[in-house]
Order: sequence, then C-alpha cells, then structure tokens
Amino acid sequence: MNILKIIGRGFNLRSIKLAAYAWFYNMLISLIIYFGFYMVFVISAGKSMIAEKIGMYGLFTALLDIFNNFPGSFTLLVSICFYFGILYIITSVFISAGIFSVMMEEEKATFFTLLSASIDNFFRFLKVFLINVINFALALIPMAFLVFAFWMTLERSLNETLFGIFIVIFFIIAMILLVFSVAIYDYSRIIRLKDGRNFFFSFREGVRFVFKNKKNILLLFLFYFISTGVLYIIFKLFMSVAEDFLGMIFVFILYQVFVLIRYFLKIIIINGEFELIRVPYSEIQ
Amino acid sequence: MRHIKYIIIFYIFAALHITGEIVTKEDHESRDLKEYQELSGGENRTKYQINARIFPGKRELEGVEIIRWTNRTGIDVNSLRLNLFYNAFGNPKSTFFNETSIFKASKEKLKEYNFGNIEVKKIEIINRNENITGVLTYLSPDDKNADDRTNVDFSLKKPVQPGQTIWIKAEFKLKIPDIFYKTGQSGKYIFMAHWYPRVCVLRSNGEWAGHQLHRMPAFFSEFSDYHVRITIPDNFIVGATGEKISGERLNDKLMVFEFTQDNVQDFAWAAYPNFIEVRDKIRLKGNDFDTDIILLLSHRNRSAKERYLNIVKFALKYFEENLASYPYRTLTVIDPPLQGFNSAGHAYPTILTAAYLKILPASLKYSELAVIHGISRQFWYGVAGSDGFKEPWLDEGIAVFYEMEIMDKYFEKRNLLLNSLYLRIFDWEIKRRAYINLSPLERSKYLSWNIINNKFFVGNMYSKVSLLLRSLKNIIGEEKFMGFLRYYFDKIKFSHHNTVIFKSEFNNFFNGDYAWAFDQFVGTDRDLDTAVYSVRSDRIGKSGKYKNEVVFVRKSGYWPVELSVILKGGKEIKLFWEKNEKWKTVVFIDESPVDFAIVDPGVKILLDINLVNNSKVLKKENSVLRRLAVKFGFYFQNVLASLIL
Repeated sequence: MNILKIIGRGFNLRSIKLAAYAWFYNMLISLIIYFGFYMVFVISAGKSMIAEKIGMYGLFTALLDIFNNFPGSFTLLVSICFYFGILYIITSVFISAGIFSVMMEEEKATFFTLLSASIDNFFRFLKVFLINVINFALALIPMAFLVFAFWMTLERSLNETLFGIFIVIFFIIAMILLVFSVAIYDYSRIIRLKDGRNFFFSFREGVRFVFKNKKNILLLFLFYFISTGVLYIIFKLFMSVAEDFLGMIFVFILYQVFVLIRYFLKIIIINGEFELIRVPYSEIQ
Repeated sequence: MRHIKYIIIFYIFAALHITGEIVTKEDHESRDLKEYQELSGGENRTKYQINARIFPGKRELEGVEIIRWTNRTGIDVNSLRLNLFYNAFGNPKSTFFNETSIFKASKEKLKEYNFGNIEVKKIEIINRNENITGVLTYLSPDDKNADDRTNVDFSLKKPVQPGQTIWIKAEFKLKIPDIFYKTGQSGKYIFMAHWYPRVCVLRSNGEWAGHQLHRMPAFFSEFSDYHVRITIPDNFIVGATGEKISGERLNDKLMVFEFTQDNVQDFAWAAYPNFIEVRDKIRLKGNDFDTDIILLLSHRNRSAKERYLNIVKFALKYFEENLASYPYRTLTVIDPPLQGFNSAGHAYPTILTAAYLKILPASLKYSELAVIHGISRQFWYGVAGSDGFKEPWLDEGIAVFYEMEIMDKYFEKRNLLLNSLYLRIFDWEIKRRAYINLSPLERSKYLSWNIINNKFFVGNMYSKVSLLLRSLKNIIGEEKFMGFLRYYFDKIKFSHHNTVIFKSEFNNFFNGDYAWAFDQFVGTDRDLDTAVYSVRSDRIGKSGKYKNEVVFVRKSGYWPVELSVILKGGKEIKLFWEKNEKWKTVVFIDESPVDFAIVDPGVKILLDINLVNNSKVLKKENSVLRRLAVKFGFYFQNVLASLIL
C-alpha cells in the first residue's frame, strides 16, 4: 500500500480529538508539576526578589543561588521530576489503552468513550508495557556498546575522521533502534487488542510483524521525524519573542499547540500502523 | 576562656599580618616601576636566534640557539639559569605530572603516553670560549622535587658583571611528546610551546626567578627578541609567533621558514599539513602598520572562518578603544584538529590556539570565548608581563575580566556563553558559579605550584578576580575604570608589573584607598555576602502611619554598598552603607509600610555569593517565581511529551 496514502488517512478530526485526549493528561500532570516547582521556589526564595533582579540576565544565576543556598531544593525538584515522570509513564499507558482501543474498534472519539476504553484495557496494556521494557533495554545495549567501543578507540587515538564517522553511525543506529523499539511496542499493543492471547504472544508477534514490514515502518517514522523537526524549527522561531509577560503567555499557548501537534503526528503514525497490519495480520491468523 | 584564647591568637596574627604588610610594601616600593621597566626593555634586551629542524616521522627536533644576554642588574651573576620546560613531559615524576591528577590516578595512562624531553647536548659561552655543558645543577625552587628537570643552573667560571653581555650557544635535541597539555605532536599536528632552552628572569637583586613548569598555566619570562628558522617537511603549513619573513625550499623535501619578533616573552609555533590558511588585516589606531590576522584552520573547520575573523576583529577593536592598540604586526590563530585538541585554548605571544568543535551547537559560544580570552592574554600576559607563578591574577584574572566585557559587547543582548531555547547563560554567570562554590584555602596555596587543583586555580585566579574587577567597574563607573586600565597598561607595557604596583597605581589614580577590595579578595579565601536580615512595618495606633524597620547584615566580607527600601506606593529611600560594621538598622516612620528592601539594587557587586538574601519583601509576592515555575513546567512538559505514548 502506498505509504503516503496511509499517512493521509490519518489527517482527520478524529485524530485531533485523540491527540487532544493525550494532551489533556499531559497538561494535567504538567500543571501538578508546575505547582510542585512553584512551591519549591516559594519555600526557598519566596521572600527574595532574586528572580526579578537577576531574571533580566536569564535564570541561571537565580536558580544557581536558590539551589546553592537551599541545598534541598534541587533534590526536591529532581524528585518531583522523577516521580512524576514515572507517574506520567503509567498515565501514558492508560491514555494509550483508550486511544488504541478506540482506533481499533473505530468508535467515536469522545472523552468518555476514551476514558472507558482506557479503564477497560489499562492492565492489559500495562503488562504489554512491562514486557516492552525488555525491548527498550535491548535497544539501549548496542548503543551503550557502541559508545564504549568508540570511547576506548578515541582514548587510544583521537581522530577527527573517526569521530565524524562515529557521529553518523551512532545517529543512524540510534534512529533505527528507536524506530524499531517504538514500533514493536506499538504493534504489541495493537496485537494485544486484536488477539485475546497473553502479552508474551503479542510482544512476540509485534517483533515478528515489525521485522516483516521494516521498510514501511521506517518510512512512517521518517515522516514523523521530518514533520516534528519542521515543527520544532517553526516553534523555535516563535519562542524568540518570549521576553515579556505577554510573550510568555503567547509562548505558553504556542507550546500547548506544539505538544498537541506532536501528539497528533503520533496518532497519525499509530493510524498508519493500524492500516499496515490490517491485511497482513489476517495472514497471521 | 576559650574565646579569650582565640582573641589573643587573633591579635597576634593581626599584628604579624600588619608587620608583614609593611615589610612587603617597603620592599616592593624600593623596586619601583622605573626599575622594572629598565630591567625589562631597552636595547640590551635578550636576543634569541634559533635554528631548528623537526623530524615529524621520528617525533624529534634538533636545534641550535644563540642567546645574547646582558646582566642588567648592578650585581655580579655567578651562574646561568635556564628553563628546560620540555623535560616536564619526560618523566612521570616531574612536577608537572605530579600536579596532573589524571596521571596520578591512572598508571595505564602513563604506559600509553609517549614521553618527550629536551637534552642539551652542548652549551657554551662563545664570547668567553667557556664550555659549561657539564657544570649543571637541576633546581626545584618551587616544590623541591628532585625528579624535576625543568629548571637548571649552569655554574660560570667567572661572574657576568653588571652591564656585561654574554653570548650563549646551546645545541639541543627534543623528543616530542604526545599532546597531553599545550605542546607535542598528535598525528601530523604539532604544537611547539616551551620547547627551547630559555634564560630565566634575573631580578634586580641578582636572584634568578627560575620556576619549574607547573600544571596550572603560568608564565614569567623576559621580553626578548626572537629570530627563528624552522626546517620542516614541505607538506607542512607553519604558523608561529611573529612575522614570517621567508619561506624557502631547502631541497625537494624540506622547507625553511623564518620568523622574527621583537619584544615578546616567548616563541611558540604550530605545524600541520592540513591547515587552511586564511589571511585578513586590520589597521588599529596609532599603529603605522596593518596587523595581519592569520587563521590556520583545521581543514574540517573551514566553515568557522567567518566566526573566527569576526570575533578576532571585534576583540582587537575593543582593545583599541578600551585599552591599547595591539602592538604587533601579526596575530595568528591556530584552530587545532580534534586530535590536537589538548593544545587548544592557550595563548603565547602573537599566537593563540582556539577551540572549535563542529559537533557543538552554534548556541554555545565557547569558540568565541576561547579566542577572546587568548586575545585578552596577548595584552595581559604578552605585553604586560608579570610573575604568573606567584601572582597569576595579574595575568589570567584581568584577562578574564576583559573576556567577560567583550563577550557582553560582542553578543549584545544575546551576550551569552550559551544562548539556546531552553537555557541562556552569560559568561560572567559561569565565572560566578566557579567562585561561589570555592572552598576555603590557605594563603600559601595561592601560589600556582601549591594550588590544590584546577578548580581552585580557575575559581580563584580567573573567576573571583574577574568578578572583583567587574564589581569595581560597576561601582566606580565604566568610563573611569577603563580609563585607569588604559593608563596603567600604558605605564607598565613591555615590563613586569606586580600586585603592589597595581594596587598603588589604582589608589593613586582614583585618589582613594581600595586596599579593602584587593586585600580581601585577591589571594585570600574571603568571600562576600551582604543581606537583608529582616523587614518589619507596624501601624502606629490610629495615626495611619507605620513604624518601619529594616535590618541589613554583612554576613561575610566588606564592601561599601547601596541600600534601598521601597515603600508601598513606590516611594524609595536610598542609603549608602560605607561604614565597616556588621549590622545596620534603618528605622523610620512613614505613611506607607515597607514593600521590600534590597541590598545593591543595581546588582553591581557580583562578588556577593548569595543573591537570594540580597532582597526581602514584606509579604510574599511571587509573580516572578511563578514565571520561573512556568518555564520549568514547560521544559518538563516537553520531556513528558517525548517520553512515551
């Protein structure tokens, strides 16, 4: 099937609604984190005007002095990031359970349908996620090995050509591993919904499917990377106006649009993955 | 009782300290500025004529040098002191390697390292027909390390009398080490620094100031004239201190390059077959010649050409307007290839090594910073000489001050070391970070061979001093402050200056006593912290008036500082806290309560280690902190969006 056609099919209102569902949770957790950060700053420097006085230069010195003079504050911020990061990963499993299910069943993408699908499929998806931790870990091993081997080589002779070659090789391998590990995770979830069997089965079939459809999957993700890159460049241009308070509000809104579009692009990719599996999966059966 | 004991000890120390100060001042004042200049310059400057042939395949260099040296003191000289700095790389027990933690930590490193050294095969005083090759003693005046071979004393049969000139001829051979630091060879890239036998500085009292080579960058040498011939395989492109006066083919394989430069403290050079040479020129005010800017770019970094040229020209123009016109005809910027990156970021007379890495994001301005720093040191090491081993602040500290100024001016509103979407960092902020994290250090540890590690050296000599100077500039005013540096530089150029001269000239120029600034923050571990201790407003009965009380405290150090109390409604009460006291309480009655109080409202004193406590609001007002939290929230939201779906 023409990959462009597959991608094109994802551009619809339904995809936007699904993306909005994902963005909603992202925003919710971000708000909690925002208040966490706010409280840390208020407790440590609430009576100081350092941010106002030093803020004109940037935030580095303000943060440095807050962290330096209130040593616990940095640890607290890191803890907030860490625990909420984990919470978000779990929430992400919850969100994806709803999104994948609604896409699979071709149901109406209302908030309550998504919520109910998320609740129904959460534990099944959580198991798939846990088995895919192995998948992500396996993807990291060759990267770590590559970095280690290269480091050892560079230690012996620092060579510009070698360095350039390494950067290119590392980038290509990293992208391929990233694409395949994410695609395996996606297909594990799709197959888990399509087939009632256990998560080991869906993981195994996910791996098998991805390696059977390497080219199409790589093309799908290539679209994702290019479009995200373009989006980032546009966003960066707008971000340069964030000097005053109004600018901050503008950037804040823009940022939400940016996150929403990123989710939208991911939904298009998931939609494409569904399209790809439709015919071949019946063959698996 | 315990306190009494400490008080007694304190007074004894204070007394000793004051006595020490008086002795030091008298001692230094006797060697006044004029004497330093006479010793450093003039027609009887030391002259070096060096003929060197390098064998890159064998990693060797053979050289013959003739040094014309005159005893410019009034005292007989009985021995000749030379630096053989290349021996620092020849022995794992050398002072240089002892001070290099990576070698201390890893024996494996030493196994892999190609050591280098310098062997003086023959040395004679030719105008006396006196061979002094065998009469040498290695001396380690700094750390008494018997395994260090970087400082050598040759006994003379008869003294060199005041005003007498000797001609020294030395034949030497170098084994070129791997580039671990500054000098050596890596692949086909060669950077030669500290490579020839060099006469040490003879002080006016007839004592040699001969230091060993240390890990921390420091220099002290005489202003001399150099004429250097380098014979090298013809595929190499060579850049060096001074002007290239010829480049001739010796035979079908070798080229001979000739360089000359008067009135510099050292001679360094680089060679690499893959250099791309870019030339430009600039005419600076007061010079009747153009200065050639020579970029020798590693072939993979040709795209950095404009970046380099722009910053070099900008920095030279900045110095022209704010200090002095660059006095030499050439400025060579070496852009080392990656394998030679350990030689990056250093400055030698009229030549500097930049630090450009293609893979670093353009938002990181480290390349510009390295060039600016190198050019600053052309002035504050190259032209204004000092004993960098004992008083490195006069070299590195002032150079970093100029580096920060130029970084600010060059990038204007985007004047950042790092200017990215997520984080913006100014050069001075990085310097301040190094300073505020410093731990206490004894006074003796401020000598470059005693300093504990690079962090302390950079923190104390680069960062703290540059922040002190910027803070002084901020309170004195830019025009006046830069005016002083212009005046001072003009007075001491091409000579050796020292802390006493600097302080004395500073006080004279500003007609005041700034000892409190220099004595507290140069060569000591003193830091500064002035704070708003408390803010209070109480309504007075039904009068509608408030009794306002603000307490300020000097938690550490002393700096005369502006204080400001802002009342609700915007009325401002300004004060200047000059008296050297720990506490200051401001009490007044007004119709408005205090909104906030602030120390140093203009954020002029960057030496203050804690800017959080510099202000205090009566009631928490957190709009800016909210923004700070929102910004952080942004970053994290982005990370979350990337995490997984």
